[in-house]
Amino acid sequence: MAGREADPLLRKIRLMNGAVWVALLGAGLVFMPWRFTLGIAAGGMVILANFHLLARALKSGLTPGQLTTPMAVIAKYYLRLAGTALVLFFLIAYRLVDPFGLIMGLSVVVINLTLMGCNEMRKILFKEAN
Amino acid sequence: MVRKVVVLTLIALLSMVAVAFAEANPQVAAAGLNVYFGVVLAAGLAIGIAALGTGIGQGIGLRGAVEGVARNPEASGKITVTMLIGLAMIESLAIYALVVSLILLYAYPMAAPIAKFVGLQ
Repeated sequence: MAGREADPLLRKIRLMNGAVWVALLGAGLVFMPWRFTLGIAAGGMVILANFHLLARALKSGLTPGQLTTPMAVIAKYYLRLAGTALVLFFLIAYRLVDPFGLIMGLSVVVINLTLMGCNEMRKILFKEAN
Repeated sequence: MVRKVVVLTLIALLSMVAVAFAEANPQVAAAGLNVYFGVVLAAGLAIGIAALGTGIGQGIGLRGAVEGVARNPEASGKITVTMLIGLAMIESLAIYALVVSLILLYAYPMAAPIAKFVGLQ
């Protein structure tokens, strides 16, 4: 756990994930109906939990010296997948949230990674221009 | 054997549904069933194709990462983080497809207008 937190890139991604989620939530609260905002909140929570669990599973599966059994990694992977599917099923089937808000919330990590990629590209281009 | 029983049961159930609809109004029943079959087919194809692509993509990424860690165990941290980013991007596609399938099956926005159009409501 401490090793993962020590990784600056991962820490930055996690912080930016939260920032993007909060920004989307704020925009939803101001401009969109409450069910849409609820969708953003629920989708964001699902995808952030997913990202966190994926990071833990990869770390335990790929770090030499801290390897867990393959069965444990596979079991965690399928549990995560089943949990995500179940939560999404209940959210959509019982119409608890707006589906488009949910998709927006589920895009938190994608938006963040795309923005970070664009930022890195801008840095490279800017450096090359100088 | 089990597969045959399941398929035959499904066919029988679908025939019963079709007959039940047809007794009410054959044209309306046909239109309603066509829409229903289309929606179910679209939902199944959506998640099926997305799962296929996601599986292939994640497999290729994971293979590269595992090879990298095996050759250079000290770089496992950086490789893991880079792969995490890739896997998160790939997996989000499958989650989008799952959401689209669930929307088609349970919260299709056009279900009510179509049902009204074909006279089921």
